[in-house]
Amino acid sequence: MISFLARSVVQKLVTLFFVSVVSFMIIHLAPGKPSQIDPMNPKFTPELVERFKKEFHLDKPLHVQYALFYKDLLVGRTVSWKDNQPVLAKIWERFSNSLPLFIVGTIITWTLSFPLGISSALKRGGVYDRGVTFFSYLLISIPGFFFAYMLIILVVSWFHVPVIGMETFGLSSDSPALSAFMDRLWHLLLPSVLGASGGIAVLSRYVRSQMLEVQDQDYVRTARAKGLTSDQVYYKHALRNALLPFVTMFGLILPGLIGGSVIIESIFSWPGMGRMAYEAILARDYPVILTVNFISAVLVLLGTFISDILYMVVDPRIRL
Amino acid sequence: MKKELNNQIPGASEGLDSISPKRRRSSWILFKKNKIALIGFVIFLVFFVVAVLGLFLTAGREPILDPSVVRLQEKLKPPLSSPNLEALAHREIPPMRIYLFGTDDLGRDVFARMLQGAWVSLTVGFVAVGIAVLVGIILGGLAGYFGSYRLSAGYILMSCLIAGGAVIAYWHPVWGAIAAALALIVLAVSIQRKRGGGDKAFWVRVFEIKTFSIDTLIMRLVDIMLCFPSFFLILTVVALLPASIYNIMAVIGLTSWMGTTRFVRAEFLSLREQDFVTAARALGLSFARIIFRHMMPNALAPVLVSTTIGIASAILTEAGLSFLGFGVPPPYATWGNILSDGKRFIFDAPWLTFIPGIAILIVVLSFNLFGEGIKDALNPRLKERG
Amino acid sequence: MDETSALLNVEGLTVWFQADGERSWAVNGASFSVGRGETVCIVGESGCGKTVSALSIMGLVKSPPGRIAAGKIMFEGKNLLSLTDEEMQQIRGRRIAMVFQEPLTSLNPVFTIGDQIAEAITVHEKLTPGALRKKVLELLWAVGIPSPDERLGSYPHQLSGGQRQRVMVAMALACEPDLIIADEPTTALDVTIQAQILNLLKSIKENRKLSLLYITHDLGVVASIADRIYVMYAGCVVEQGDVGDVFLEPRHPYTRGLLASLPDRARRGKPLVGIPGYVPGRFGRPSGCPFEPRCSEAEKECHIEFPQFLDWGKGHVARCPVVYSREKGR
Repeated sequence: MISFLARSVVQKLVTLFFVSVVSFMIIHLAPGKPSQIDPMNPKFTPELVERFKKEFHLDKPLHVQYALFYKDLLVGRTVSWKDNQPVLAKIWERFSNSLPLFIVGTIITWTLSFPLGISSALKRGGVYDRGVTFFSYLLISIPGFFFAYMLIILVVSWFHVPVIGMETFGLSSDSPALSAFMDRLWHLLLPSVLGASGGIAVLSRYVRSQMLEVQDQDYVRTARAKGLTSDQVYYKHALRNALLPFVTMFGLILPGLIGGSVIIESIFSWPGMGRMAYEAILARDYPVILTVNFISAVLVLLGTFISDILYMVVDPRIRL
Repeated sequence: MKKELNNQIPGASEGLDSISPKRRRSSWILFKKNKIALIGFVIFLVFFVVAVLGLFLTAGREPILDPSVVRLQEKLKPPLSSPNLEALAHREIPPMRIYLFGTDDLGRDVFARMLQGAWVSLTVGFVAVGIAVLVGIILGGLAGYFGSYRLSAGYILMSCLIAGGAVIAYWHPVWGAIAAALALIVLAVSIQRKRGGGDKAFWVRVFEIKTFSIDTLIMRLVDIMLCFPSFFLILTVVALLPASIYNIMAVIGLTSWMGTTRFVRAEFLSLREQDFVTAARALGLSFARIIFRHMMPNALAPVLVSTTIGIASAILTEAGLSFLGFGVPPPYATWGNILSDGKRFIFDAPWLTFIPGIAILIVVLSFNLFGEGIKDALNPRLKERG
Repeated sequence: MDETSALLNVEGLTVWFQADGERSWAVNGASFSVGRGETVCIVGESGCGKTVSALSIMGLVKSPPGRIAAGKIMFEGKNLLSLTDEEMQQIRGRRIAMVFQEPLTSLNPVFTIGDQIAEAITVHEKLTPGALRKKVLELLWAVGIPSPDERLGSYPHQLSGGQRQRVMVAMALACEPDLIIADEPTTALDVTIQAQILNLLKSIKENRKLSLLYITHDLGVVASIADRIYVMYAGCVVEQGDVGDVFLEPRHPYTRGLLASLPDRARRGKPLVGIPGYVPGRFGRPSGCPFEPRCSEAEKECHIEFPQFLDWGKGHVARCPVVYSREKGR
């Protein structure tokens, strides 16, 4: 068990190293050198460009640049090229904006998908099941930005509440706490529902197929032969087995923390991670891009690691 | 020749015909019974025809429907309105005398732009997924079939030299040439090694050290690729590269092959243990023949499913990129950028948002349903459930 | 067998499955009965409808695609097919219990065996935790699991195949049922383990005075365990009678074929005899004798008319007029 974990950690560190190399290469081998930050801008005198190059080690060979960059990143000294702010502080600020979206979205996803998936598996082939199936496909297939605009039109014209941004502009701090809270909630609702919609569709389909798979197993028949009621059979014997794969998913939602949705955040002018990444790409702010990439790779690897451990905990068959 | 031999081995003939005409026909019947999937298939065909028609109608120097004619006096006309013939020059008059889908803020015919966009969506979807599936099948097949084969240090050194040399040659041709020369030396050594008899030099033996297996290599590569947040990665690369439709296809393709790879690998791992593969190997067939004639047809069904669903998501990705302004550059119209341009007029000219939005939705939905239909039809376990 | 005193009496059971718009008959008018304290075997090749018959008794035929189209299953005078789901639940596990073929897949992998046996008890009886634990230990001990205390917390995958099947038997015994249906309980096990499980079932049946309906394709097992035997072919019973009569004087060509295909010490060195052909496809009902295509004794009328049971005395009946007319007269 310990040796498995140790091996897994080493393997993940190696993967992380390669991810860092690949992302560094992608950025630096792309046409358009980072040093040509804005050659048209008259403020960028050759001396300034030279100083800039020096400051960011751009005059060094690639592998030295690589080492210096990740050294800076690990000690938290990386700064954005755009505004010279420390990258980690910037990310933290944006992260705290994205967090509520992520949490609400995840809660919506998980609380809706399971009842939907299970009930449509139990009523397999019926009108309800087909309805849920079709609706899931609709959610999977709809372009997020289009869906966002449809919802905006609906909400704005029916409820007359503002939805763009994190809070209504000009709503000062002296307004009553309740209305401020409601305002935040209204702003939070649409983007999180949008963020959750795809997840609900995918997850509920997966729950359904897991449930169907498990229902045909021999031990479900045994449980029925014991004289259990069908509820006991489904919700104890079948569900417990069907849920095993989902435990691992708890680990896999971790990367969602940093990803955010570029499209949804830019439609709603939500100053979150996705927007920041988008702006960084537009400004060719490489330190920010690379850091976001690195952190998200760390989260992916951490997520798979956690899900491996969780799997070992919940599935008695896996003991290493 | 092969057929005869196979017939003599009971297990072999059974396995080789595992996708027999009968099974194919019953799959087709099952597929036909799945109404939703069939509708998906029909829409898919219609979309295909429309896209090809769109290419012919909107391409060329004097297209029949010109998506790029600007008529500022006719801007934001709602769908089904007829053009004001007196205000337009002869070449500006739409051939159908009607703006079927209205006009946009520059007075361009949305119907013509949608037709052009259909072809773009189709090609982006097919080419991107074509790349992904090709890479996926090759890598997955290698990993699944030669899974346990361990690479020797010499091979790794050689491939590093070749790859590194190619990169270096980009800047310094001289160093690149040196790397190429070194690679040749390594190649020569490994060839000599094969010939060589009992006592070998130390450095020859170093080259023979077995390191990791091909499977490990490829699966770690998959892990690495999966660490990137995919849409963010695509966005980054597309933003860095010069805007072009080919770059977008390539980038979407090269960032979405991992699923197929895993799929094909798993499929191959189980197939290679089956009797008909053993039988084929016992007959002395070549690797290529076993892989492509005997194993691939059996692995193709799930790949087909992931392909249709992949096309759907590639179309969505392209639309998303276009929406953010990183998509296919003007003057090409794509559904994503028609919508993106139209979003400013969402309350005044909702058709600019709804027509492309619904078009994307329908096409993507049809691909997804089609894929799901094939999956159900090919899955024998589900079949038994009736 | 006296019909009224029988514990279980199945009459004209017909079950079909619907797949791809085609109906396939799994059981085709099968009738059999099990008396109190009796061990009855149903024998036949795979696909002859043995398992589906057993599942029908338990009310476990999946519907859809399966459907019990006709027949009666009388258990202590009540027709099980007319019971509601709740009433059927009271029967399952408590009055009729079942032991399945694959002990590994039939046990839920994520619960301990202690939990699973305890559950079989608590479904039907309320017990204090202490009493429950005591009863589970007793059951494990009764089925011969060594050191039951330690095994209580084991998961199915930690047990051997034979032990898993013992656990299945313990679960079946949990509520002291009147009838245990064992569906090829030894097929998935090693030969030595097979004998152990068989002996276990035999002794339990003796000690607890219950009835056993044993389904198998293994005639050796039948000889060692059964009181009476039903030979099934293509969904219907072709011969039935006391085990001694049927084994010594089989009156149906199919039974003869089955017995002849057994390895026999007296015929050492000679090739084994098989029955030519395969079990017919289950699509469509044959008008004549279902065994006719494979039968060496077949005559013209076999193809036309479905044979009725012909009495050979002492409850031994067989559906073969050809054999009857040739041998009974003498």
